[in-house]
Amino acid sequence: MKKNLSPESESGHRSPPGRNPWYRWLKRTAGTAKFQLSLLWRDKIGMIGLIILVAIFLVAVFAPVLAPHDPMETMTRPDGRIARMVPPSWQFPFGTDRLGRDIFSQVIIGSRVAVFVGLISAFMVVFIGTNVGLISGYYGGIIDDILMRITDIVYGIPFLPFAVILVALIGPGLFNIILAIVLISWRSTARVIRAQVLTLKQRAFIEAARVSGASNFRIIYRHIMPNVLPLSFAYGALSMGTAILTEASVSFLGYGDPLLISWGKIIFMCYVAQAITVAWWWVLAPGLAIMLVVMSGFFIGRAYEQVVNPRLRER
Amino acid sequence: MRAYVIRRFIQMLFTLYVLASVLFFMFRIVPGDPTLMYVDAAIPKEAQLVMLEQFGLNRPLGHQYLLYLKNTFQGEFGTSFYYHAPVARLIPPMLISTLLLMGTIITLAFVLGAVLGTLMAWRRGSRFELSMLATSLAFRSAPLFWTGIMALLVFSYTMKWFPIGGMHTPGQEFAGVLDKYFNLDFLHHLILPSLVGAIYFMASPMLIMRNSMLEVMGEDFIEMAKAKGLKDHTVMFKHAMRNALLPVVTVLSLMIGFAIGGQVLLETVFRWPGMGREMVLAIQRFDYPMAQASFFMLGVIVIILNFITDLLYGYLDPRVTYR
Amino acid sequence: MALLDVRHLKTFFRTQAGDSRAVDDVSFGIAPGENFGLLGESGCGKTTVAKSLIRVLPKNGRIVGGQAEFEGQDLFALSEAQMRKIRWRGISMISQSAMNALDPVYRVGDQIVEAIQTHVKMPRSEALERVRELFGLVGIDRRRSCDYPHQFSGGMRQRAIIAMALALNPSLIIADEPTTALDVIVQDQILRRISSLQKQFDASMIMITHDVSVIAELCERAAVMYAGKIVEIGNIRGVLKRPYHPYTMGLKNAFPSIYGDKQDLISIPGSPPDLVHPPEGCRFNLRCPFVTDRCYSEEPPLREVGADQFAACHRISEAEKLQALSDKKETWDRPGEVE
Repeated sequence: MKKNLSPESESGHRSPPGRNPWYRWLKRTAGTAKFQLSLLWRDKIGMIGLIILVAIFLVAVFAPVLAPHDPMETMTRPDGRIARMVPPSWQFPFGTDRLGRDIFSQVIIGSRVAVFVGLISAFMVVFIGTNVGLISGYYGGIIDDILMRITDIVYGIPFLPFAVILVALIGPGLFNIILAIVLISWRSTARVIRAQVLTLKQRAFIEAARVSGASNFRIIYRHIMPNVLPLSFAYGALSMGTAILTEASVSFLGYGDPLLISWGKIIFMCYVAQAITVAWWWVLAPGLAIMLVVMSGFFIGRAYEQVVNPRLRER
Repeated sequence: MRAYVIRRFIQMLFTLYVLASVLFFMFRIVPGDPTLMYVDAAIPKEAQLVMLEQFGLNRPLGHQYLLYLKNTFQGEFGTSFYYHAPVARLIPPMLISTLLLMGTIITLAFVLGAVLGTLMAWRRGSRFELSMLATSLAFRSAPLFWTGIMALLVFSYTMKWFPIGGMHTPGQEFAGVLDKYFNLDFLHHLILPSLVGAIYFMASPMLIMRNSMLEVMGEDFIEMAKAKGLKDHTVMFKHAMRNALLPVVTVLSLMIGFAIGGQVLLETVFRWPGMGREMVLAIQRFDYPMAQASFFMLGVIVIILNFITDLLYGYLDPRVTYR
Repeated sequence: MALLDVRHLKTFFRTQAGDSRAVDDVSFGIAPGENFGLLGESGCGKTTVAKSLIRVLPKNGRIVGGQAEFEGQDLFALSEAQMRKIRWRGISMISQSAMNALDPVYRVGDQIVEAIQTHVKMPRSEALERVRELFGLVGIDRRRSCDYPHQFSGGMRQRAIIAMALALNPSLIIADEPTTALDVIVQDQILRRISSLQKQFDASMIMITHDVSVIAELCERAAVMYAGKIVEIGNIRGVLKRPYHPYTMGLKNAFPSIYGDKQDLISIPGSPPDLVHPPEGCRFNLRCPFVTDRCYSEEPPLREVGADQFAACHRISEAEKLQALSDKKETWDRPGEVE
């Protein structure tokens, strides 16, 4: 399979002929998706990450069906007593909490928040970061200066404290948490994309595009962007992990969305109930769930990183 | 070099200014009476009026802003609602606690990460490399507070190797700052939280170092170094690592921003009496002056450490300082 | 007695597709004080030969066979520690990209001092004095030894590398495309300097390049390499004026000459073969305008064709006719059409 997978190659997708522009755009996007998948396929670990991610996504989508019990419902034992603090058993695979609620169901339902926060944050971060990087890197000059100064300043604001304070001030809702995450996380993606754009800007094919009369917009989005996309995806996958960890941390500190169950919140509830020393299962399961999802994000990110930098490829 | 330092210094001051302003406006977004931010409703009316005057809360916004900047610059953060003492006096011991723990974590993470990353690159494709990769990624993926909780459960509660949080065994008196921190008890309390933090933050510098080393090892000057007849470890440490260190130092600045977040979590889980834990507690207690000051101090730590990192990078890479 | 005697050197690279036979049975000898040229297009294995001699191959490369006798010792039989002693002191190297051959984070002078102090016990001040001396020889301002590489221009960096290569008075200097990355005027200066310094230090030199004109100017003997093998070797007059191998004839044509009548540049069509699965018979068979059936099945050995000249071709007996034909453009348009 002698495909030219190096990012230097022009986005070699030909527009499918005929029909209306939407059809063509769809076809092209499908082609890109197939291309991206083939990139991941090369790296087995990246594929594992993708599989785990898809699995968790499906769990999140079908959560109400998959959860054996209502996570908020107090369970009772066969003998009628409340099933408080029951260690993992066949009936309750992850045990129960101090109020007798099934933790397995809680973890399953909790996946919805994780997936939601992860995907939305990743998307927003990639979107904002990539665009800032593209514009800053391509235009240079004052625009670049200003945008980079802004990124530098954002670097000075500590991430988690800012998220906590913001959420504490404007209210602990899911969207507020996502807002805090996005406001700060785009900075590293922007920096990296900009650096990539700077090297690409000098390549011959950009010169050729300019000479042939392409507008700046076209050059940026038709020619440069497809080449920085692997890097964007790499950082997107990484920021998905960071977002989930941040949400978990914010919830653990007590500022999670009061109406939703999230994995961080489960651990928070155990902490608040001062049950950590007696109910290890309460804390273990949600923590492992977080670890699994974030790790899959890292695997995918690594796979893309290897595309951008072939020297990192194994053998 | 001097121009570089001056430029970075001015940038640092500007960032501090922006941080203070962001803080100012953030606290004004809160619906309701902004005076509640500074003035404890519980204190007697006359005292309230005095505070209002001091913070210019009865003056127009622009005026308040300038007064706020002046106060911040002078370290005047008001009086804590909870402790009923000037915030400025409460901060220093907490600051020291935070800096000690954070400093230990960053140093450990950075040094261990750099060395392990170098070894990983040198032993490309070996089982060592893969196992290091897997372990560090696993720890980086698990939430820091969870790792801390698990560590406490296993090593403190069950094995009883380490104390269950805190910075000192309770009920001690200290003669002075040196006495307070230069003792075995402190060290004993320091070990677990710093190890937990280091393992978490180690992944980034380690991977970056490895990637960076792989890039550098392919460079011509490495081949030249070998051709000159230098020993393998000289080539690896003196030439490859020194060059590979540069991107890692860049990542250091990024890491500092996250490390502060980690501090908040670690201090909470380990009940470490630092600035991070205080901020969370202050917010819970609606002790606004304390919350604001804590957040600001955390930001100041990040900004100053970033400045130092910039200087470090300038020292390591002679190309950067010659603009 | 030869300074360097290479016999049947084979160096392969491990790749995903298999072993790439980058250097496949190469033999040559160099006398003391001689300037020996190694000529060929990129990828033919000449740099690999150099790297094999001092054993600084990348991780996927390995010397599969052969001996290299240098001043009485077989370089390939030495331990790593023994080899280290010979590097730079016995054999030094001026590499292709001097731009990147210097470590960017250390001062230029310090890097040369490092080379010196690795092999000779010398106090730093004395070593620095030697550096300044060397700078004078190569034409760099002596005060610039405490500058960093990025403060030097391309030409200066190349000169610094040359200075470093001479620092320990080696018996053999390998110059790998020392001027390819420079502009023509600087090229000329550097080459002249290399040549005079070589004579001054009485060192042998292996001049590796794809530029025939460089070899023609500086070398006394040369070997032409193609696809990992030596196709022609001998004294320079013979090889360049009366080549016996079609590839050498082609190389001659590819370079313009200021004197003489206006000729069209004739290039050799096609590209070098895959070294993982090299073709049977002569490796040049797909591009050779004089190829016969025999060339596809039997590999031609190096045969003596004149006083100190050897070529590996089945048609050396018709060399004069082929030499005349090779001057014409049409010959090269259709490989294998000339009987």
